[in-house]
Amino acid sequence: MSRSLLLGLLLIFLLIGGLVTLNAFWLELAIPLAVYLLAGFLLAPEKVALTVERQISPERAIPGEAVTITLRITNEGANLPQVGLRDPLPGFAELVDGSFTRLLSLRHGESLAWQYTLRGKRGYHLFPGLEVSASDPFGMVNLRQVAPTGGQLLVLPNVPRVRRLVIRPRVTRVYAGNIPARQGGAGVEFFGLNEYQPGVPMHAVNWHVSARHQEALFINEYEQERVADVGLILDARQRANHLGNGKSIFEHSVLATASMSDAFLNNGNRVGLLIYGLYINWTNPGYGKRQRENILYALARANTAESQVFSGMYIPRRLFPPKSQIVFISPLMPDDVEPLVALRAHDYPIIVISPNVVRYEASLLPDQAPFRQAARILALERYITIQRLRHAGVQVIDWDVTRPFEQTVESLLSRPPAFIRAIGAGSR
Amino acid sequence: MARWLVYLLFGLGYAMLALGWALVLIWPFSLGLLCLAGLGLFAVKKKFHQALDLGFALGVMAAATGISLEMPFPYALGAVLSLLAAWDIDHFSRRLTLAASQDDPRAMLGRHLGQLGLVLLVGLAASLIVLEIRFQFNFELAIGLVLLVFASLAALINWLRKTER
Repeated sequence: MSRSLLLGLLLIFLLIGGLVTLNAFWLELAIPLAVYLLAGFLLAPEKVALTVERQISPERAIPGEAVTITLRITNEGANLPQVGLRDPLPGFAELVDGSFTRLLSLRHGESLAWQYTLRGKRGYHLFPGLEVSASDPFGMVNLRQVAPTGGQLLVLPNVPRVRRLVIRPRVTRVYAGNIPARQGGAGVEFFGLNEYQPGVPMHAVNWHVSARHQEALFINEYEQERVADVGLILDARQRANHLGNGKSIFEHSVLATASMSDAFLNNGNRVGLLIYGLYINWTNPGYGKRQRENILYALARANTAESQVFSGMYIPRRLFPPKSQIVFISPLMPDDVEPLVALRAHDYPIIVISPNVVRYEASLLPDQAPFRQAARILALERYITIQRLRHAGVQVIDWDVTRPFEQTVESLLSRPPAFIRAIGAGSR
Repeated sequence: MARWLVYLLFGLGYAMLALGWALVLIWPFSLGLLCLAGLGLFAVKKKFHQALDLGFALGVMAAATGISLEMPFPYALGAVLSLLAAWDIDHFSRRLTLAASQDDPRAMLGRHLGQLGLVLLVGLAASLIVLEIRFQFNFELAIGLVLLVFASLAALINWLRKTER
C-alpha cells in the first residue's frame, strides 16, 4: 500500500470517527497527519525530465579488466528535492569503485557527472537506462521512470593461444593454407612421382628414378596445402554443464571454443560456430579477424539453457559442408555418442574436446569416501562414453581443467592422430 | 543512527499509548499494546517493513479509540506524532540506502530530520491551536464542511496515486 493512501485512509478514519462520536479530539488528532500529507503534496516534484549520457570505457573488455562507467545527468525539468538514481549492474559484473546508486537533489538546469567502476566475467550487457525515482522529502508522491541511455558492455572470453593444430579433413577449400590436401602440386611435403610435362621446371625432375626408366622423365610432386572448413559446436545445454551448488563447467567450454576458433582462424581456415543451448545459435562461417570478432561476440553472449525442442543432442548437418572438420566442445553425456557417431558415419572428421566434468566436480567436493566412490563410478561411465567415441573414429581430448588448455591441446593435436599416422593418410 | 531513532520513536509511541490506556484503567489493552510494540520492533528489526505501516495504523486507531474512552489527549497526540516520525524515518532510511558516500548520507539524514521536525512542529501547533479555538457551526454547515473535506481528501489521494504511476 502506498504511503499516501495509508495516510489518507487514516485521515478518513479519524474524520468519520470524530463525526460519529461527536468528539473534536479525533479531528485534532488528524491535524498533524493532514499537515504531513499536505507538506508532502506541496513539495512534490511536478515531473521528471532528465537527460542522461553514458560513456563506457572500454566498451570491450577482457575478464577482470576494470571498466569505468561515466554518466552525465542534466535536469531539464523542475527542481527535484529528492531523486534516487539506480543504474542496474550487469549480472556478470561486480562493483569495484564508486556506487551504482545515488540519492540527491537536482535543481532545474543542474548537471551531475557520476562515475563508477566495475569488473566483470565474460558476458554481454545492453544498458537499458537509468532508473529514476523522484519524490518529495516525505515520500508521499513518488515519480518513477527509466531515463534512456545508450551503451553496451562486452566482456570477451579469454583466448589462450594455441600455436600448432594439426587436422586432416578429407575435403579442403581451394585457397592455400597449411592443411595437406591429398593432391599433388606445389607444396613442401613429398607426395609422389608423375611423368614429366613440358613447362615443368627442370629442378623438379627426379633424376634417380628417370635414370632407371629410359622411356620417360619423372618429376617429384609435392602435396598441396590448403585451408579447410571447420565447424565448432559448443554444447550449452544446462544439464550437460551445470553441477550442484550453482557451479558450472561452461566457462571452460567457452574458453576452449575461443581458443580453438582463434587457432583455426590464424591458420587461415574458414570457421563457423554453432552454440547449442536454448536454441541453435549459428555464426556463419568466415575467415580472418572479422570472423574472430563475430565468434568472440557470440561467445560473450553465450549462456547455458535447456532446449525445449530437442531432448537430446541434435546436430543440423546441413550447416556444415560435407566432410568438413567438426570440433565438438562439450562435457559429454552418454547419449551424445549416437549423434556424433552418426555424424562420423557421414565422413565428417570429428574432434571432441571434453572438459573433464567428473574430476572438476570431485575437486569441489569434500574428500570423503562416498564422494570418492561416486566420482569413481561417474569417471568409469565417462571413460566408457569416450571409448565408444574413439572406437567410432572420433578423436577425443579429455581435458583436465586444472591444466592449461593450450598445453593439453598442443600435446595432443600438434600431430595427426595415431590411426591417421598408421594408415598414412594425409601425411604421405 | 536512523534505525535506532525508528526503534526509539516507535517504542516511545506505543509506550505513551500503553500509559494512556493504563490511565483509563484498561490494563489488558495496555499490556496488549506493549506486546504489539515488542512484536512490531522485532518485525522491523527483521526488515519486515510492512509491520511499521501496520503498527502506525494500529497506533493511530488505538489513540483515537482511547480518546473516546477518556484517555488524556496529550498522550494520544504524543503517540501519534511519535509513530508518524518513526514511520517517516523508517521510509527515509530505506531510501537513504541509495545514497553514495559522495552524497553525504549523514548530512541528508540531518536535513531530513530538520524538515520532519518542522512539519511535526507545525502539526502540533495547529492541533494545539485548534484545541483552543472551537467554532460553533449549525448542523447543515457542519455536514457541508465534512463533505467538502471528504471530497477534497479523496481527490487529493486519487491525484497522488495517479501521479505515482
